[in-house]
Amino acid sequence: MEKEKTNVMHSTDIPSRRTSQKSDPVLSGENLSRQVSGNRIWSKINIHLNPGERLALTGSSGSGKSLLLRTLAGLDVIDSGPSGEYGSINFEGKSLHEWEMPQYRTKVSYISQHPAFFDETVEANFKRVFHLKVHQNRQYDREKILAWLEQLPLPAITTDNTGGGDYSEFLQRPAKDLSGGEAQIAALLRVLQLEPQVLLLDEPTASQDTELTRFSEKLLENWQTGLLENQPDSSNASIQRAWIWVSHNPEQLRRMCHNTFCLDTDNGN
Amino acid sequence: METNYIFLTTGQLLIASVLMAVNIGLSLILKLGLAKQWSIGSLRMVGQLLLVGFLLDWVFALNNTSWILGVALFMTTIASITAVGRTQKRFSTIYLNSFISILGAAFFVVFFALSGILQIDPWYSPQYLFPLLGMVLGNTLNGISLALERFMDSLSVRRKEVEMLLSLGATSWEAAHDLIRDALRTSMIPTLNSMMVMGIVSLPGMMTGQILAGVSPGEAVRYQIMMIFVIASGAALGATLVVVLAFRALFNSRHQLLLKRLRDLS
Repeated sequence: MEKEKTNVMHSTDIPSRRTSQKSDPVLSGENLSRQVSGNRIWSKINIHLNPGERLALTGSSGSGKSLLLRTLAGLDVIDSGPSGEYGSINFEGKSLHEWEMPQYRTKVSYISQHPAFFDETVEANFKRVFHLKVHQNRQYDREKILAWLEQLPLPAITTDNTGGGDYSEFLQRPAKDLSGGEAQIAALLRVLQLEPQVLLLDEPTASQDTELTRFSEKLLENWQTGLLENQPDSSNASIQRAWIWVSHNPEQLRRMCHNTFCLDTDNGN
Repeated sequence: METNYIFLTTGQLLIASVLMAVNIGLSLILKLGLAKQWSIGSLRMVGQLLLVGFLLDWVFALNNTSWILGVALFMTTIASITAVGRTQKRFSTIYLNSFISILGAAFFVVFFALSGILQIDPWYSPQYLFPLLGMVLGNTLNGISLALERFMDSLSVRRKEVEMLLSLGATSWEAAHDLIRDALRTSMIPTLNSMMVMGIVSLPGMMTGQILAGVSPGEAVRYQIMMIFVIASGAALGATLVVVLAFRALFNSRHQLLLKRLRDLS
């Protein structure tokens, strides 16, 4: 049985959204099925993410939200469905099979709820990414990251003794010393510096208090609207930016998303 | 060369076996509960070695190429099964991968030693092939099982790190590189350590055996040096091969980590 995509009410109005409503989806999954040790988690679902769309992915625990994000990120093999057929994933009009996976994954980025870091400073972790072959033409830009952080509402991730605002201290901290919530912010920054098109956010603020959550939400909102690079809505690239957001907090999803895709409809077949 | 070699009679072996009475006695007095195991172990050891002696005598006398290579292949198979047996995880092609690695590594270094260094004609002359192959297999087996165990273990333990790299655009090789390096280092360090203390802490078995057989220590040492090089390179080659094959089995061409192919022994 196909899953229903329901539009939920949204109070915020982002102009870029309406212009992209009719266009082809930037990322779509057709007929996706998944089973884990013999149990069908979901069957033949169709999910579409339009350019500029902020899609909430909901469902009870165990409904396979993370599995769906991982599948869309190309981290997991696409399972066959109940009658043996394989689903497909398309991004920017090209089938997943036509994409080089490293290239694809820098455009469609999955962010784990419990991000991993190497045992070195936050900044070294940021730099390390640029050693990967797929990023060899890019360069780490410390000033850019500091500028992003300075736009944000509160110096929530700096230590108090500096009086706030000194984000370079954050970059120098050993990644192992970050709290769970700070690590989630560091993971966001690590991905955003690679200029992704789609973010697959797996409970991106689950380990954060209200203050850090506000910080993260603002960071992501600024990224999505292009404000991060001071190009609000004027750049085509930013209008395309979209996310799928998994959260157990309905308030947050109402704040941060336009539409909802629910994995919880009956699982009968 | 064999002037002062002493042939051991069955009676002399029986006298040697009296020493096991010490172990069994200690176990009984101190209630270690090992008396039975010592007896079984001794009997197994005697049985297995006598059997190998007979078998090798027979193969030596027969001097038939297919039998020689057949026995060598059999030893290799047993070594590859033993190497996997010491690990805690399995994937479907693990035995095949172990066999390919041990076969490739052992035969390469043994062939190199026999035909390139010792220049024996034919290279599979059993008097040289079996002692060399035996030593190489034993060490390669260790290297392979250490490397496999470490690689499979760190794939599950460091899964988050590997998938973090993959989702940041790493190729599967880039994502697994640290783990591969770590597994190879782990497998090579015992060989390296034993090389470091060779002759100081330990007098290797082959050299000791040659000296007992009447070869002068200065001569025996030369053989031992060659042997250490052969053994070390066999172990390193085998470990590298097996880790690369395991890497290929546990990642696919879509740069996905296939951890569900890996299952724990329970």
